[in-house]
Amino acid sequence: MNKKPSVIVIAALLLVNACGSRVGAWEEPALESPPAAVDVADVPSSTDVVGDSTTTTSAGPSDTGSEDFQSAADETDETSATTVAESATSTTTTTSPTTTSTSSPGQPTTTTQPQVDVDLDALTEALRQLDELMGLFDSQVDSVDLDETEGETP
Amino acid sequence: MKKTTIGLVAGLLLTLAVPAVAQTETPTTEQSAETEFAPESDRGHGVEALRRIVLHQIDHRLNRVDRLQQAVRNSDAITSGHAAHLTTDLNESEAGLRTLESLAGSATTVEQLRSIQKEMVEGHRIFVLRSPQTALVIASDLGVKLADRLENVAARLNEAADRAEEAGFDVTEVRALVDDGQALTAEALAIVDPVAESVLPLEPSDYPDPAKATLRAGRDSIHDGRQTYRSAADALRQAGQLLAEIVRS
Repeated sequence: MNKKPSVIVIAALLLVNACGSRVGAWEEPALESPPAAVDVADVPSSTDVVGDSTTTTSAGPSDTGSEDFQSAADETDETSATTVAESATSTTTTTSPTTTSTSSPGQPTTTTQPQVDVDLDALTEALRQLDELMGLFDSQVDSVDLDETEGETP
Repeated sequence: MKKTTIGLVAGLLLTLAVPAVAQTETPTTEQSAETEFAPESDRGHGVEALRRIVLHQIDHRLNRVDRLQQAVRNSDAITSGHAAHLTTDLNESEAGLRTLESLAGSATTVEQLRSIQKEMVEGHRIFVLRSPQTALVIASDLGVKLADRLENVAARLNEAADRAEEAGFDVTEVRALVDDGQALTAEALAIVDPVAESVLPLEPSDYPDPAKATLRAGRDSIHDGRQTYRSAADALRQAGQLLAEIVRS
């Protein structure tokens, strides 16, 4: 019975404290969240844009399967023609400076991380096939034996 | 009594051992028939032993010729011209050895078998000429195919570097590595490509001179070419890795 008033007081104090912090946040939106960092570093925001542009321009799906990387239209045929390894090495293309500016008003149009239209998966596969052929060549060179004689018996 | 018994047993053993030794001594000429060009012997026992040996040696060569023919057929790098040349030579060797096989089967003297043996070796040179010759031609043509593949990879790396450069990346080092790779590829190709043509014309009558030296030079060239190709592949691999790091950075 004696404890109830103090509990109520404590609860009220906590409530007031919580409300006060929220008010403070609303009063200073610029300091609270870094919208610039989010828009630049947050890939989904830019890839949403790129994805949109890609889906409109792409001739076919990326075969990387990675949500981080997409191919441009002119790379799609190549990528679909190659046997593609894991998606981690594939990079996508195209930043769209205008779209980043609309999604993040007040941020500079130049991005800090330009993306490149390079299919690293295909390059990786090409290098792997090269290694395979080098191995065959190695074996063939090793098969040249000048030490045999005509007197050899099995 | 015991001493007498022992003495008798020892005497019996000696009696039995002496003819055995005598028998092991006489087949010296027959045993030498196991080797190439053994001394003359016209014993019936020697003829059969030598015939078995010669037939075995011919069979060994026919097996090798068969494997060489398969290697030529199975190579997807060998050119059609080189394959045709080798196939002709190997088919001739096979036909010649089959003829010798038939002759050895009907030979009646050791001299005839020796003559067949000599022709088997000197007329065909399966192990010292045809085998390395075939291997070198295939290696040389495979080296040409490898150069083509290296060039292809270098071209793709250059295209990728172009795109990266357009996007604002500095690809100077990538291009330098690709250039190195291309230069090394050209160098290796110049070493490896002529080997096939240098060894193809060799015939059994060219052995040992000039065939031995020509085959050795071809083998050395293939080895040198391999080393240079490895360096070229390393350079292109590094270029690919660097490019991946750049575009992912």
